[in-house]
Amino acid sequence: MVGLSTEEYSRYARHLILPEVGEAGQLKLRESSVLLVGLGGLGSPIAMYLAAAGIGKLGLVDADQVDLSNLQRQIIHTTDWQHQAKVDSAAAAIKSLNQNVAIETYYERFNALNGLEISRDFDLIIDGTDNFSTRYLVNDACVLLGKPNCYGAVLRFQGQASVFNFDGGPCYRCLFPEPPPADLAPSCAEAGVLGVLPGLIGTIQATEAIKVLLNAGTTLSGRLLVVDAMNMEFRKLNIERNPKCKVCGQHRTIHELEEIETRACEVQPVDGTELPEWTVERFQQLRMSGESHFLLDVREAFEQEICTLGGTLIPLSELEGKLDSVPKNVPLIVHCKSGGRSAKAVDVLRRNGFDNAINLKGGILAWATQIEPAMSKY
Amino acid sequence: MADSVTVVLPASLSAHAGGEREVEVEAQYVRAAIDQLVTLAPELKPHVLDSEGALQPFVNLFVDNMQVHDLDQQESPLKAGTELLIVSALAGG
Repeated sequence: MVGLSTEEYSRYARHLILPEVGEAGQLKLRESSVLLVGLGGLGSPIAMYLAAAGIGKLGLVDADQVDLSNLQRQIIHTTDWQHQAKVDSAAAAIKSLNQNVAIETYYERFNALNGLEISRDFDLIIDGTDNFSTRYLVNDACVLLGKPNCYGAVLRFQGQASVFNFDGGPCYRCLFPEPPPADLAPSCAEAGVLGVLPGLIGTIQATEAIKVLLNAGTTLSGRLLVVDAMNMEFRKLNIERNPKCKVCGQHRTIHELEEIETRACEVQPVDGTELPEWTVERFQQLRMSGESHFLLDVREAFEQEICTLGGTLIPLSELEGKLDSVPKNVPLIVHCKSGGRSAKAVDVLRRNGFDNAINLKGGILAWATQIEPAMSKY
Repeated sequence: MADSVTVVLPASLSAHAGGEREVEVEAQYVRAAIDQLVTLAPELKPHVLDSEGALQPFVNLFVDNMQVHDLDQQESPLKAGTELLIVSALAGG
């Protein structure tokens, strides 16, 4: 192994004087590779601290682009990078911070088809995702490949962190065997999150990742850290392996990656009701993922002539008579001009057994404002 | 005799309990404490218990920082002043 360079001795001087790291530890970090799934609120500080710490190779996975509303918390991105891939924005920031770090970018959703392949060559995976479906995929990939999973999650003023599938400890599925259904799930976009909170939790994830790689200290394996930032309470809860766990239990039934349909954080209840709603950013992410879906436009024909997202037109007033032409087996995104009529349409659909119906928040106007500024508005 | 137990809710569930983060119940066992909780705050019920009364798979209970595996466990009664913590899955990142 090649020793540290003069530049590296200088850069990592404060690590090198720590007996728990030292030159051997710094070389170990340089030989390590970490896959970071999600370059949002959690992923931002994680990527920066791991790059600063001298991790040899960072893999960055995210299908999203930088949006102005991200910048309240996603500190690796800057205003200049709006509308560009988060993985490219993050890679540029990392390079600017530490040229020594090798970067692999994956501008795609971490899914059942690519998850194992992307993860295979990394020593450790960090879960910085913002939805349940990817969290379960990351967990299952870690278990199937035998890799530690540095976990973090946030909502409003509360956060959680742990290290799963490490040192004989439980995995995420041991703790939460199944995600909540969409209509019971806490929502991110609607519930909000204190901008600094993912910074706090992400920094804990990065700390745990470095400890795992250095085999130093006591990690959060077997413990769930629960943070309430509003009261600044930190609780460490003991968690155990679940012998009945579907992916790591004695009689496991999951042997390959499988998609979970529920995406709690992206589905938001409409005021006072249980109607799920997506933001236009989330819908754009779905479109970019290539995932099968059905877009229903419940405006009038003359409105579709002004601008369209390419959806199937069934005006709200005609919907109940044309339910046979709407599918139930794929995500059903319903939109109108600004979200009011489509909310009513989703209500009609759900009362008729369309559990897949989701309102597009803000309608085509929100899309035109936030995603496609060149689109005609009315 | 039932003892006073504090059920601590995550912020994400407090809206279903009138904004309260802590709910006092009189119970000697975990099951009784949860049953009282969802009686006092019925909106919480689907977030904690499934239709058959079992703990939802996206929720965990902790007593004195230890995970409760069996909602109906009778061997370790709750002591007066115990905190019963509810932790639900979060997706945000």
